[in-house]
Amino acid sequence: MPAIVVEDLVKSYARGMGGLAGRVTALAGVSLTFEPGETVGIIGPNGAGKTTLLGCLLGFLRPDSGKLSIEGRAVDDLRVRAATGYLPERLVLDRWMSGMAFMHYHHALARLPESTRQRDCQALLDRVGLDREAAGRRVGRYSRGMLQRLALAQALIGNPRFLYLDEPISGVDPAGIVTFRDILSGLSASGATVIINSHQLAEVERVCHRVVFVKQGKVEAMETTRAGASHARVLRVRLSTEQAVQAPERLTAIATEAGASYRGWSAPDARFAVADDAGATRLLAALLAAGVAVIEASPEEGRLERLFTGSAPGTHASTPPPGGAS
Amino acid sequence: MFPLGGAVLMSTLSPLAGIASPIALILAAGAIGQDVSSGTLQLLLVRPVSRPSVVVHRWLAATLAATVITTMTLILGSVALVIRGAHPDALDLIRMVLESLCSAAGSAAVMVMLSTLVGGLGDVALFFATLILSQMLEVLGTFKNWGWLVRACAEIHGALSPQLSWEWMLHGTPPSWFALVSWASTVSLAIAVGIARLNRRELSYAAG
Repeated sequence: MPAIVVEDLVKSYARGMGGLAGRVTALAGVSLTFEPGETVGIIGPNGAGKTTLLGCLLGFLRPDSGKLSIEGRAVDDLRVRAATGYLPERLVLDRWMSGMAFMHYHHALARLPESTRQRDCQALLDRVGLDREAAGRRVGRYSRGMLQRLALAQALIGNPRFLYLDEPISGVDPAGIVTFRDILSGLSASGATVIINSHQLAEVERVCHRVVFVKQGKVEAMETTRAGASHARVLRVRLSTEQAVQAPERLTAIATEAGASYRGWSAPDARFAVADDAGATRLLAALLAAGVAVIEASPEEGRLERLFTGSAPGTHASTPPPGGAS
Repeated sequence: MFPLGGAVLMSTLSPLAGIASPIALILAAGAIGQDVSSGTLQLLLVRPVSRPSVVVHRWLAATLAATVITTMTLILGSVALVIRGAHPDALDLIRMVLESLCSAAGSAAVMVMLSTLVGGLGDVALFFATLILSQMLEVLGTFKNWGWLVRACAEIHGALSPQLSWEWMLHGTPPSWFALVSWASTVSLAIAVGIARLNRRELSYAAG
């Protein structure tokens, strides 16, 4: 059973005073499902509707039509909220509190037992890499990176099953990014559904199982990523110097025989489209069997960037990945 | 401090009688609107906290804080009067505390309600705009001899700052049930409107 179901979600906003200038559609029939243990990235250009989608999922905005349910319950059901964590993009934390006091406050709001409050909060602050000195410091004196870590720690209060992260690594140093990846990996293993709204595509591609590309209020494309299951991809194969300029006909023939397709030469690599991990193995085996000296092979990076330019192949929502969204 | 000084100089606690209402107004100003604008409320509402409880708790907090401040001021004033040789009446002191509590509850309820209607500190502007407009209309009503307008403006004033007299305690007379119901209904209505408005309000996720 999917953890989160979004069905034909439509949301529009009034434009101008009292809607006199008409309405602008932010979401035009979005349908998605999110599985337990899945980490999904929502990407898209500014004004695409990502923020509105998250706003609806968090219960801040009311859809015009469509259905939203989390474990079969309404998004604003208090039982859902008790299992929800949220890291906002704009960190408006109570600046006069100490980091620890802020954590205590949210621990209390989450209705967690007072007896475990200090221990839970300390453990979470340790987990995000905020030491005891920082925990005792006023939030107003935190750096941007420290604020981000504190916000992540509060989002993790109560071991949420649904976690919404808006630009989670903005302003975070490399060590913090590694910590963030470890935390996400642990959450995924524990069965939490994580939804990330971010423009940092490389990181999204790295940590998410699936990426949803939203454009003009619609799900334009979906991609499984390296962190996800076996999936269709473009493979870059570097050949030996002597064979660097291969006859395209020969490479096309080998690829076709292996169930792949040759996409052309992109110095210094040949590019092949494969259906999945097994297809990549078959292609490499075929190349080696044909006497082609393969130096290295790797999945092509930057596929998400190409979603923005509209040149990513085979990524349309009409062909959802196995076990993916509808 | 100014009303406290006045009470000491005049050897009476009367100047302190009306401080609860403005204190409650100040404490409740922006109670909801500022949190919506800053984005703090969004972070709060992700927790298992219902919107009605946010309204009620903000109202209770402003009421209690204003009452405590007023009561402390009254006690300080009483001590100062005793030092100056005057002896304030204990029953009168209790009456003033109870009236302060009712004034604080009424004013805080109205301000919290206004705070659910507009963002930031727009509730303060809304409060004073309504107050000034109703006073202008009252003057117009008096000038034109329109009794209905004067009466309507008086009701608006009463609704903006609901108060309940406990004078009957001093005279041994029964309380005015009409006044009690009127005060309670105004406060309840303000809280109910605040809850209904916040329940319907969409919280801008990105901009706060």
